[in-house]
Amino acid sequence: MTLEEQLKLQAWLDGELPPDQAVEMSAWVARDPAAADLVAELRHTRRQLRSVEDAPALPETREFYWSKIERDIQGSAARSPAQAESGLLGKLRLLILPTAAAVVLTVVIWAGHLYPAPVVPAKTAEADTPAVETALASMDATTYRDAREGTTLVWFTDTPRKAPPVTPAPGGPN
Amino acid sequence: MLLGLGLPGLTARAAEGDLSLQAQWVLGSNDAAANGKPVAPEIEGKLKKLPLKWQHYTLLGTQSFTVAKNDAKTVILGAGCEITVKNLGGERVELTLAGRGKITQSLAKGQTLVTGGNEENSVVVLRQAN
Repeated sequence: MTLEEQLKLQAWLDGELPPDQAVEMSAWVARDPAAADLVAELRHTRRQLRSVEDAPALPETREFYWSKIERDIQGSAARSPAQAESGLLGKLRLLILPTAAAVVLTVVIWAGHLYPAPVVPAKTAEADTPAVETALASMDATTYRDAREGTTLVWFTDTPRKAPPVTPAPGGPN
Repeated sequence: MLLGLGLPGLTARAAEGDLSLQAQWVLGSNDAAANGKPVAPEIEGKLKKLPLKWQHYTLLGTQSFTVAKNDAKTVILGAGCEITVKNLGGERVELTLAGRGKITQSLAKGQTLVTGGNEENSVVVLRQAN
């Protein structure tokens, strides 16, 4: 393997190659044992270097963390007009709501005794929360849920136990 | 006549609980002139709303398949991208990304599950087939 090929492999591992070349490199690593060995060695070296970094452990990248907060703020801003209330209406609500809730609760309990509820699959937000297991103990998984789009993202990160990297890993969430 | 009326019903019952799925292996990049087949606009829109660092997505591989209830199917989307999907029933799936991990998640129509790992510029997108 030439020096140029070795450098190209390293660039691929760092996510620096354009997409078409990245695909070619994936195929090459899959069929060439020498290339696969070098990739494994480079990954091992990188892990070892990360393990000696004296960095605080963060469960996810800084950008990923702030992007979640930004989306939460956008979501709550969209909801806030509906929640606005003031004056007498608000005070009446304070009285009416607990009373109505107590009446409904009483009726539900009474009806529940008469007609036991059938067991149905959960269709709440809990059912949409993914359960994630990582293949290796050294891996972490970060989950992001966009309820409006119905999209769930689960990102697996190979992180040394001692000191997870602070900077975003190549290919990871921004 | 009776056979003709009965068969469609039988077929429908046999397929009950089956999940028709579509898995896509998608490459992310920030190069607008990247070669390759672009993903469907609907998928691209969803990916762009996720906290991923790429702005352009091209299709590396796609497979449509059906998994019977309580059954599992392994699908190879390309070199180095293997997934196994188990149909847990009730539109819930267990997606295993080889070498990465396992995700258990509801996957009703319209829902999309996206997964990937570091050191890769690609993601796997799983959803029910239209």
